[in-house]
Amino acid sequence: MKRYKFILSILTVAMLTACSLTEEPPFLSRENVFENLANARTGLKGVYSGLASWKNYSYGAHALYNGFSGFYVARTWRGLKDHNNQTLFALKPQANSREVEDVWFANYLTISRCNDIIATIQPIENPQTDNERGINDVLGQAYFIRAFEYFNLVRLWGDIPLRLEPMNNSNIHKPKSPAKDVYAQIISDAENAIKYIFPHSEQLTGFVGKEAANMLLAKVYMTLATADPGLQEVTPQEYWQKAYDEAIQVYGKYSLVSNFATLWGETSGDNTPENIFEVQFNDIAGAGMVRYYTPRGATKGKNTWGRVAVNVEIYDDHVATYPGDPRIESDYTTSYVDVVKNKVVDLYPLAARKPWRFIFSFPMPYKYFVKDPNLMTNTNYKNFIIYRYADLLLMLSEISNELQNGEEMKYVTEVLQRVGLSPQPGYYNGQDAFREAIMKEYRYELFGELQSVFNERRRGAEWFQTHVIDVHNNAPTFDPKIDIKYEVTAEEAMILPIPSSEINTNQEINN
Amino acid sequence: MLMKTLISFFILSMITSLTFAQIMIKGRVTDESGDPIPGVNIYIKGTTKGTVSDMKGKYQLEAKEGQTIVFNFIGYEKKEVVVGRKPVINVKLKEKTTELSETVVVGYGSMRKSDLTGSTVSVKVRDDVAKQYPTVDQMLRGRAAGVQVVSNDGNIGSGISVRIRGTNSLRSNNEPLYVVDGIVITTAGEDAAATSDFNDLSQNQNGLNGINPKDIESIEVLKDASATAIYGSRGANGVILITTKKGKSGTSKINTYYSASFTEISKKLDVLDGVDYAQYQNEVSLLSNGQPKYYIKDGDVYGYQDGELLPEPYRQVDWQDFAYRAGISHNAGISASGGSKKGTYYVSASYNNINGVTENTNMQTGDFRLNLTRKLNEKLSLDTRVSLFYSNGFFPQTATKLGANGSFVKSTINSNPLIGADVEDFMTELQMSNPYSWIYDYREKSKEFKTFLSMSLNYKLPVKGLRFQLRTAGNNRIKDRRKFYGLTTYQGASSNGSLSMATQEKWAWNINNLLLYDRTFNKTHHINGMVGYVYDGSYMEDKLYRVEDFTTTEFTVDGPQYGTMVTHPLNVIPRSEAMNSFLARGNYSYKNKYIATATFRADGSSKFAEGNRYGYFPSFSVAWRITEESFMQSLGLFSNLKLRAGWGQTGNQAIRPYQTVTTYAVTMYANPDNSTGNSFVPANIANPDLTWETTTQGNVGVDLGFINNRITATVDLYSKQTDDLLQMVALPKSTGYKRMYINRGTITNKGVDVSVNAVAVQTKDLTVSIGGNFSVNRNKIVDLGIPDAPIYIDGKEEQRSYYLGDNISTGNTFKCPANIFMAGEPVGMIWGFKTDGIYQSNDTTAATYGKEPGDVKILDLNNDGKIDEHDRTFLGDPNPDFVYGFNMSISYKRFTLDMDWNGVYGNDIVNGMGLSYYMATGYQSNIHPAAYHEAWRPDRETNRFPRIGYREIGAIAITDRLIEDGSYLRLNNLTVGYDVPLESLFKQFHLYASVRNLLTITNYSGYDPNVTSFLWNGNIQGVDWNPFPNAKTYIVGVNINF
Repeated sequence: MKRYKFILSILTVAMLTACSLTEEPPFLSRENVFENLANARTGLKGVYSGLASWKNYSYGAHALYNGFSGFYVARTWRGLKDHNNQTLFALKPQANSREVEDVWFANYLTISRCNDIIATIQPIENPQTDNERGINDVLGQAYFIRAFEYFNLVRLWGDIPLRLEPMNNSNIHKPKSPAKDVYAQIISDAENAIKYIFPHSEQLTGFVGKEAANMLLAKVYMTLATADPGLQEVTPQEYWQKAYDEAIQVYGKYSLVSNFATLWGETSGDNTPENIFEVQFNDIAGAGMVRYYTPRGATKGKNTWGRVAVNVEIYDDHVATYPGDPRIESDYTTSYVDVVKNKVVDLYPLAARKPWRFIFSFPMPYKYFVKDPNLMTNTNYKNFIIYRYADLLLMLSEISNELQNGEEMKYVTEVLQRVGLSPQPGYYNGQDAFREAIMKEYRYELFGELQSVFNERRRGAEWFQTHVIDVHNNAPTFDPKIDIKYEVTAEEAMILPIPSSEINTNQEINN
Repeated sequence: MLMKTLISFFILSMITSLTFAQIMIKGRVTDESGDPIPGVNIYIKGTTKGTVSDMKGKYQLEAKEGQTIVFNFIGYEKKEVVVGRKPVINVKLKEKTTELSETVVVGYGSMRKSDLTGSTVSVKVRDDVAKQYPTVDQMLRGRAAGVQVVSNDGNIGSGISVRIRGTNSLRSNNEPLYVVDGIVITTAGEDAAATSDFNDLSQNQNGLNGINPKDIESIEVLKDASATAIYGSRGANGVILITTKKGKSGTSKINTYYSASFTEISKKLDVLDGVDYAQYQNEVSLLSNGQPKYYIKDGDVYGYQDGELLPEPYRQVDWQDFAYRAGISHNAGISASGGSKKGTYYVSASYNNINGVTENTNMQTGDFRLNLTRKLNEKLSLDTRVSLFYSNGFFPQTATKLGANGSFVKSTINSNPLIGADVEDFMTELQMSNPYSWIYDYREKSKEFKTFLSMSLNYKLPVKGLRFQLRTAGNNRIKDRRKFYGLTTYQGASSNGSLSMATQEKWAWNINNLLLYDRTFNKTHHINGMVGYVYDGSYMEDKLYRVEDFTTTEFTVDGPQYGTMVTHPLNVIPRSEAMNSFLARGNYSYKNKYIATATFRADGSSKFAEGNRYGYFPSFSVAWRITEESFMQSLGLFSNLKLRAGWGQTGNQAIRPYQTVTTYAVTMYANPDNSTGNSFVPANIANPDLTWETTTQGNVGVDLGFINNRITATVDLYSKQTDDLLQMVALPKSTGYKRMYINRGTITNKGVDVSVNAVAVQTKDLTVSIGGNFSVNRNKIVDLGIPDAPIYIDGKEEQRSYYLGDNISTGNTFKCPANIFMAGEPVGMIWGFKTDGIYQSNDTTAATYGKEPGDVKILDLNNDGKIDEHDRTFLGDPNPDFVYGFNMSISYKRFTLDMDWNGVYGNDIVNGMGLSYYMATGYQSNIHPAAYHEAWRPDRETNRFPRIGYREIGAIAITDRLIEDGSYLRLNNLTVGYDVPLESLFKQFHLYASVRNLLTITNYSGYDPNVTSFLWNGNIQGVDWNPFPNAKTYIVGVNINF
């Protein structure tokens, strides 16, 4: 009987001391992740790593923005029959194509990380200590990157879901907001960014200075100045003025590197005085874009692809406009050494154009081509520069031309002087000719830097039709067996379809 | 008349004269298998004279002719023998199998079989058949009504899926709960995580390794809620109770066995040979640029280089012949058991060396088990079980979500059959990874060590019928899985060698405190009851690591130090889980006629937030044994007739922990000085509202027995409804997250399970038993918790609640979902375009849709002049109409023959391979011969295969051309055995020969209608994508008992 009692009491004790069921996850959580400046900065790097992710500037953005720009062709042996050459590169992207899905996701992924920071970090009014200013700076950069990503999204897709809160299980389904509301939010975020981010001169290397937000805002106003009237709150001229007011804030805060080519070296282009906004890569947290730009055999590494080549009229136009321009060598390559087979591979114009020699029938973009043939892997440590000072100078010229404030020649001259050129004759033939010239200048200076997909559409469908589609289809070099014929109207090619997966899963979006 | 009297007198006098002769009777008492039974009570009927058998079962007793000797021993049927003239009387005692005394294992205890009120099936497999299987799941195939097993023999160690009574849940894990000797085994659905790229489709390897079929005494499959509710929040998918063998008191038994097997793939797929392939490619080239690619002469194929004909012809290879071989495997083991009144032992060990169907496949396993029982004193007894399992193996690459190159299996079909020259366009992906590189340049190694320990202490309390049981158990699993991609594989080429390493360590522990009660009052009331408290805890750690850029690739999986670039620094992911449960069961039987059972369990799980943490799972059931009624007994028709009815609730909480809080993970981001830094990123969306899904099930059944139970049958009807489905839903990408768990929706399963067993012939020399089972299950999504939205079905717009399944591939081929989940429809209906043959050149509608003659004619169901997502409709149903199995066992003298068949009828399969295999896409990829030879051509219009160059790359939906009937009937196992007459040396010497997967009758054109792709993805159903071929195995073996 004694034993009986003993066992019963053990049982009772066991029942009463039933173990705790409260989870204590051995990870950081939203509650404690930004609690001090060091952690907050590491969280901010999480936002930057969203920009650096495979689907964003590591690879996905290159695949989408190039494909949709009208400047390129997918470089595969399947030639024009290649799926990409029949869809995205033919300016007919599909709602389920990987490029469309990936960039959509990557932008929102980065935005959701920004939202966590913006909702969690309270701005400190009148910050006194470095710590307090640092916290504000983290918050400001989150605003900047959120504005930047929404600006990409709204230009590519038009009306889109506007998500500003951290995700929880009740705000998953969200309808599209009108593009006008998205622009308003971008402007407000960029203004907050300007308010909180350190100036470039005081900023840590690797993070943006507040001038990046001025530059972004200038781009937003330039876009709105030539946008559909439905998106405009003020007159185009007022937008140009606002754009000028922002862009001029950046003037003189950065400088051009003396040698254009150094920007495109494996490491020489990282964090230069010209870079305003860039994504950091190294050999471990590397960029996949090397596979996209470097053909197989150009390095000892296996399985790079070289997926993209340049429409010949783009190359020909640059050569014709600025013969001897040193930028040509940085922008394109017309031959490379196959280090595996140890032979020189010639491309257009050195190689003849033939359907069965499709991949040799185009020059290739060269800025992100791996220059070190000994590289064994397919990731690269070269940073990707999103905004650089030369772009800002060209913007100032374009804006000044629209405002006719007399400064238009000054900035573009600075850009061209660096490469030993003087402005082409078009700049001297009045406002319209200047506009044509400066819009071309973006192509030459920023070739391949993922801006053209936006710049060429910024002035509307008609501009895109006459400057990209028609120019390509009517080029003297056009060969229907080798070149993609753009069979869409510019109107159809202005924005991308909302990705199928979004329509399938978001209960508030049906088309 | 006189004659008769005389004879009877004569006989009578003879008998009386004989009865007076006293003789010494000697003999031996054994059980049916010939083992001696010591301690048998042996006495002469009507006297007090008697004796007891000794340790060898021998006895001596003086008796007179005509007297009756009674042999009596507990647990055996009493036997009476009339003494004749022979002085030797050997007796075999039959074990008692009357239903009344037969006990079966139920959740947390055991019960008289006659008292069962729920739906359970015992799976009985002959010993020599059981020994052929490495894992339990394969043994279950076709054996029990309502149990569907999907696995692939060809790919050793591959994942499995066992479904009891259909799909309960839209989440991936629908596996039943496995309970071994009362201990819940949680590893069935777990594996070391993969660190490979996101395309990797490597599935969980079989988590049931280590539960060796040869050690299994009995398997009970609990199907309805009244049987499974005692497992509460983990019982919804059914429960499989496994009891391992124990020793029996008596002399020791030793069993040893060996078998050798020979495995080959059971099917090859036809592809073009070298010459036809060259012709095909030439035709493609002529169509596009007018230049032939190859020159064909006398059965040789030559290539061109820079316009010049190469002097040497290409080698022509049949890649499937090259890739697959016949694997020879060995299996050996030994077991010993025995014991005394004080205690028993069972000890076993075995070794397997399995060689798979590719050269890089080999697995070695070893296991050991020790089961000990010991009576410590009259009241206290101890039961200890220890088992260890070790495996070490190399596996073939299984699959990838990518369309073209990442997969070994696909490469054996797609690869160019012409090799030998350095083809200029080697750079295109299709040429990248060929079968050769997958076999010689890919290594997947996996090592596993498992330990199970359990100890149970039984104490008889001073109240009659009441005992206390304390059972504690611990199990530990360490699994290390590594994959190495060499330089010629697609994945390795891009990284200069890539090695990923994943380790999973898991410790689980479990404490059961049970008070058990079992007693009969006045022979009319029988009560069996239990109350208890159970604590389950586990801690698991996943470690992931990947390194690339190798200085030497010679050491493959063993040389991580030769990798120079760590692309995935060591990542440790810990998880802990805990559950508190309170449970009770009462079973009452009145006069063995009327039986009622009630169970209750309360579970508290750490996976859910406070407020949602506790769940309550009741069940009630009743039974009526009509055969016990006197009116029925007088009828004499049935030897058993029992009606059962039950209702109950069970749950499912098989999700990862930490889903109710937002956690942050660490990813790498480069520092400006090009060093690598950390960054914090959110890892999930918290869902504090999560709770378990609840399944409510009603069951009505009848058990029948005829002719002394030589024929038995069971029929069950059930209806299940699962609410609050726990789903891993795909999130809109605009959330910035991919997936999260939510509770949403309701599905129902209704069905019938029938099983029949009969001993058809039973004579001295010949026994024939036949068993069969048949089950029908219909599932339906009742509610998805998603608002209705417009959707076109068969061309008409409707408002329905639905979502689409996951995209199949990450490449461009099959980059669309194949399934739709829609309220009011069965789970996972196949969704896509309907077609009507091929556009012929006189068909003027082709141009309207931007098509050309020779293209597949996709129907514009809504007649709006374009083919888009609104033209999709239901194409098929991946759920079978019924599944069935039957088996037959014949023994004639010394021969035995066993046969197992199982089948599935009426399900549709999406044969994903068709997109590249049944279409002459014009890529440099090999295809089915008819797809080329019978392709549509302007001068030879056909309606079966499209033109050369037609492809559906990047299409938004599949067409019905991919849908095939998945019905099949398979002879799983055919075993012939022979007992060699060597009784002088061995107790038994049994030889057998067996074939597994000998025959499959099916119209399915892919490798195997038993589809194993995406077993672990609830959002993809019935899609066959880069499957591994199934295998046929020939076995010879010997079983020796000492």
